[in-house]
Amino acid sequence: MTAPKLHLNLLRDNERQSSSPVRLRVMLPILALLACLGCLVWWGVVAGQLILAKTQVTSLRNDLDAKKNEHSGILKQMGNAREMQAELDQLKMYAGGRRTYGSLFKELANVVPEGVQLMSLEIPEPAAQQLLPPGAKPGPTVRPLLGPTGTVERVALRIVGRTPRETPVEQLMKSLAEPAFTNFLIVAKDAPGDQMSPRVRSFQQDATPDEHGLRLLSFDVEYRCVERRFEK
Amino acid sequence: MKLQLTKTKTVEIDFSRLGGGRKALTDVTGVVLNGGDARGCPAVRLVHKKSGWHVAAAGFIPAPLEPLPDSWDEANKGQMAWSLPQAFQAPSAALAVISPHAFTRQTTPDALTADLVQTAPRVSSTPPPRKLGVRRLEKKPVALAPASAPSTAGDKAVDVKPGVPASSDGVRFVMQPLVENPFVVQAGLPEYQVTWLAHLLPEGRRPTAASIQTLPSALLASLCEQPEFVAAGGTAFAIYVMRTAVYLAGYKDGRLILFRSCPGVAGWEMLREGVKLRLGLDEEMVDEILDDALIDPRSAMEPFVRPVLQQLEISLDYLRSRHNLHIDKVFIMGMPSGARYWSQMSEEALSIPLVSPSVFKGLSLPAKDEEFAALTPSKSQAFLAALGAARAAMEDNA
Repeated sequence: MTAPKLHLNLLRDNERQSSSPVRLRVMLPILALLACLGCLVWWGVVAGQLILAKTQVTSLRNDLDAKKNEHSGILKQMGNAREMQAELDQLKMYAGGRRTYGSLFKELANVVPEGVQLMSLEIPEPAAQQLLPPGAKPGPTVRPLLGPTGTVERVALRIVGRTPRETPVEQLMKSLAEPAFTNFLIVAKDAPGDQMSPRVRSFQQDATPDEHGLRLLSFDVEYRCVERRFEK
Repeated sequence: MKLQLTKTKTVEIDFSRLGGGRKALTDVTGVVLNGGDARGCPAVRLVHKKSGWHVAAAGFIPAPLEPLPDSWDEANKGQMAWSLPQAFQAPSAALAVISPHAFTRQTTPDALTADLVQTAPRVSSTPPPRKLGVRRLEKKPVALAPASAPSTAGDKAVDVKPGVPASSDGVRFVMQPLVENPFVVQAGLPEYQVTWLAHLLPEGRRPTAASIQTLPSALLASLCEQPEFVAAGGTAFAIYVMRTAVYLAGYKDGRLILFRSCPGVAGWEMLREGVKLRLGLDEEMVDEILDDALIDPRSAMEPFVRPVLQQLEISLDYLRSRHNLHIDKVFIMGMPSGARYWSQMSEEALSIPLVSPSVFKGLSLPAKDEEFAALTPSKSQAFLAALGAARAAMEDNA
């Protein structure tokens, strides 16, 4: 049986109405309009955000350019500060390594026996310090170090004088071993080699007689002093 | 709305089609309007499911508050919305209308064209001032032209396509081709009545009008799901005896091959009146007598039945001789009572029994509904046109 064609409908398609309370033919254009409006708003928001981001990028770039100049200045200043700090440190180390001998000489004046004439009190110049950077050769462009690389420096006190006899010198040496001088002078008679202190460098007849015609003994004694430490 | 994408490409968006019921209808309430029944308007809610056809509700509903308009002036007065009871609130409604200005007839495309050409100068978008009536068409010799559309000879006023409503001279009409070339069946109503009916059920509330049919055209689909009709392969003959008219319809393979209004015969109302007067019955007794075997009312019925049987004989002879179609299944539908006597008289005169099953036979009914259980085949006939209207509107589900 074929499909019957028995429907004689007098109602046109465009006259048919929807029973749904929501009319699609009305709602669809409205929804399309709302969608377009939504897209427009979204586009506006995105465009606004883009403009804001671009402004921020430009501002940040300008800021960065300014900061770059400032940064190099800061770096330079930091370098200078470091150098100055190093100099200060070095100065502090020098200050730490400073030795004062006033009290030594004051005490020494009290213990020098009669019959002893001190010709000289000398603290020998230490060996020249290495101020070149490690591996560098001396030249006009090489900048020397601010201070010595070594932090400890040996110091000695050389006492040269004359005496008519041997005894006053022994008495002087005994006095210098007393506690008043232990802060300055090291007494280590049993130490080996150059570590020994005091060390009699010479004790001999003086070649020239004094004003009375007496022939005196000249002595040269070297004391090892407390080391000079370049530390803060 | 047309959007021109490029010089050659144009996209057309038709918003009017959106939301319009282009899908096959599956839930339709068929209603008969202006039927003159004191009980109200017969209505049937028909639902098509995968399991088959299901009658969700059937009964008489209150008629619209305003009568069917009889002129443009009446139609333009403003219209009160009509609401159906909840059980009948399907998404769509199919309205079968009884109107003195309605017509349903078998015709030919050439006759239709001639009629349109004749009325073409009077076609106007404004309402015609005169009262409309059924226009008689002059009979013409059968032409062997294709039945799909009327010929275009002469000044064609209206483009008529099968199944597509057209308007001419203030009349809305639609036609469908019959199996027999070049005949078509044409139905029409005054434009103002169609417009009024289209807005009778308000938009946005269930149901809204999806189909407007004349009463005879609504009857045509009422047999579609009858088991005996289906068993006969859709080849059968039907006599629709309505209140004021009798219609004859021949089917071949489920499609209409012949349709005519029985000339010179009134409907069952006159028959009942004749039986009542002849046998001296009260109004309430008539249906009982016509359905009872104790008193034989055939002598009283004969003046009314005989011309119908003659037309039946002529029609069957025509189908036999013209189409070599031997039809042995004849339905008689629409009468509230007396079908068994029609069948007896037909058997005596033509040796053809008439079948009058319940209109709901073959359909799934609400199991717990006592009203359906109490419906006899005779009483169910009141819903024939309502069921047919709904079934025709759901034709795409066939």
